[in-house]
Amino acid sequence: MHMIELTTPASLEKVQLGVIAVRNIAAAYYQIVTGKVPGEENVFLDSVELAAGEACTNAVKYSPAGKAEAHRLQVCFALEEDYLVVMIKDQNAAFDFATVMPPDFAETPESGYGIYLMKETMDEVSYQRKDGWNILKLKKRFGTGE
Amino acid sequence: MEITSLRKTNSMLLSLQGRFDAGAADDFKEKMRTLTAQGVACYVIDLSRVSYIDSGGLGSLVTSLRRVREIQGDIRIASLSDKVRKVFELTRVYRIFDIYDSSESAVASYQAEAVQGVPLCI
Amino acid sequence: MKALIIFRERDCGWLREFYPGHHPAMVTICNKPLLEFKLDFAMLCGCTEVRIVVDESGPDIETYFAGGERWGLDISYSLMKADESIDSLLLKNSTFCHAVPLLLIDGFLFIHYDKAKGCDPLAGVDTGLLSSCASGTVLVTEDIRCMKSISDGSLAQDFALSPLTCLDDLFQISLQVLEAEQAHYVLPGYGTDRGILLGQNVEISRGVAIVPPVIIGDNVRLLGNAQIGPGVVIGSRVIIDSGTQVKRSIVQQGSYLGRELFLSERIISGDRVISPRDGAILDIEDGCLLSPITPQTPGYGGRVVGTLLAMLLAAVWVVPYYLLAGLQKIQHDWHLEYRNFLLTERGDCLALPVVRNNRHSLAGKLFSALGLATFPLLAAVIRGKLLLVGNRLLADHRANRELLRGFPEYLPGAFAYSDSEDVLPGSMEEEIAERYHAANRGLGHDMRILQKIVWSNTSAHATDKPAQSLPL
Repeated sequence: MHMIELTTPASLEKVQLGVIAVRNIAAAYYQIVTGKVPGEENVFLDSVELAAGEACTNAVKYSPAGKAEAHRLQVCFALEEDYLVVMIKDQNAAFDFATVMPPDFAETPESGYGIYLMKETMDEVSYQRKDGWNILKLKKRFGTGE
Repeated sequence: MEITSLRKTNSMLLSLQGRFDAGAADDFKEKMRTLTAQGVACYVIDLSRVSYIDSGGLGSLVTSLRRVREIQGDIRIASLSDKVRKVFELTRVYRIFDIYDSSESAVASYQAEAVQGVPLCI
Repeated sequence: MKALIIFRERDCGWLREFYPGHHPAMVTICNKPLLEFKLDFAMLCGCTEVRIVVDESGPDIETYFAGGERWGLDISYSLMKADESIDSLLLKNSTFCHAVPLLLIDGFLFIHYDKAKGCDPLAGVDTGLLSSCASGTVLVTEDIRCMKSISDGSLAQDFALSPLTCLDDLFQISLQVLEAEQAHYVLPGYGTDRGILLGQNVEISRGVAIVPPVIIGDNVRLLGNAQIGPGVVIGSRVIIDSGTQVKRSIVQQGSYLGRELFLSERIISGDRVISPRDGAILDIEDGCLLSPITPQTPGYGGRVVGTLLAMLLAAVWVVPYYLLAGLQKIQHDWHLEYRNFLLTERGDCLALPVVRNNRHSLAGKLFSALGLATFPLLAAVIRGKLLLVGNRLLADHRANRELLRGFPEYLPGAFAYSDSEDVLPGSMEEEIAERYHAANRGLGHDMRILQKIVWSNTSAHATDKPAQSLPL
């Protein structure tokens, strides 16, 4: 039921282009679903861009060293009721999503905000391991735009 | 992301433009390392033209702040757009940075401290 | 004129214990956020632009006030470190504060004013301090450059400020506004009698007595012979069950008060009863707050009856279900997927099958008309994981988890309570119905609901519920 799929090499610079594309595709969905043209400032798009960006960066960060270019990650889009669903898939080693702790804010760490930011900006974040793929599913409700 | 540096009386003003993501974070850290090696300790980072920041970009700011603090320096942030400010807020990173609503006032804050006899950072 | 409104955690952090999940600036006085009173005051003083500065993240502030369009104000937001001095704050916000008269409200306090009288804070004040109290100050100046040397003793004008340093302060000010100053502010609701303000969709059953002054929020249900007032503030989404008396108290939003209770000089917040005078908190474990009747969890007998009925329904439905499912599969109109649903307020989950089919085909229409989408859920009922009749199943996502945190009596069922009532899915009415039936559940009650659902064909109301088939 995926409507659009993007595939990109797992490198930081290629992913930057991918995240810009994610924002623009999300904007197209937003316009189709809500009937409104999203403005420059749109919380819905900002949230999707940030969460997808964090997910893609993680996928690149954990791709096997030295072979980043050879590895690919996929971004799939779908609609579920009044939610936009963005799925980020990679073939890295599996990880235990449930045990990822939120950052220790008292220490202001230099990293480890990725999954926390996804959970804060999305309505639902879930993880699945299927046929050798890590699938991170991000859901955001339309209409939380302006 | 583009980084433009401008030497001010008591500080170094770095204006960033573009997407401050994990890819740009390495460039930024490298730039900061070079300048710090030259003895620059006081920075103003103008983020008004940053269209996107993620945890990678933010992390590089935190790392750089820790480094310049070791040599009694500081990094002061100027001109956050709403979009960027929200990421600062969610990650609570604003607790360790001084945030100004313009680069002029951030630069002025270093000058005011210099007048008051706080040792110069440059 | 512009206003800089500052909230510091050291002034208002004490409130977080009583008001979890919100920024203290959003605490309500007579159903209106404290910060909104401050904005109204700033507007009365002639401010057109306001900047809100906090040292502890408060996303709910921005969600509520946004850019200020609703108030005709231009609102911006800024973050600061803890213990920032006023001089330093002015420098950090110098683009905003530059060369205009500035009103600065710093601290956790309530400003008493009268909307009818107007206010020109600059009249008769050269510069500097307007007023101060134990938990903050209000400053005004023509130009921030003159604001630098303010001595604490120079009280220029006695403005009535009330400090907010403990829960009792908040309680007393709420009652003061309610009883003596109601006309001084714009308060939410419409007035019926003197001293009574009602929100939208307030249902008052026969025999309920309301003694002013009373303020009631939106979507409130007051049941038979409840006695409300004098001196009561009721937030939104509140149910007060029959025979209960409430006097000089505040009932915060999303609370359910059981039957035959007597409450005076209390703050009720969800499942907590707080005594404002000494701050003593009583956490009520019982789902129906303080209610002497506790039909909460269905007893063993109820579960057995539910399981038996589920088996009966399964036996009746099994043939048509597989027949129609098979037919739709051949037409590629059929998809069964598992999704996580919340079981309890603690966030325990259960994966349940959701039917996604084409509801416009003949088979799909027949499938919906027979209510067969509930069939896959019966297995969970028979295994004892799910009730037969209970609350609407909620998908496991953030908004629903938050909703359930204030809903301890939540227990989901294959058939949802609100399906027995004519309410819109996702509406406030639906939530009220769900809470009401959850608080009154019992074998007889649930059977009546089941009868109502089975007789009235409700399968048209499809939402976030697995029991309903969703379009492909």
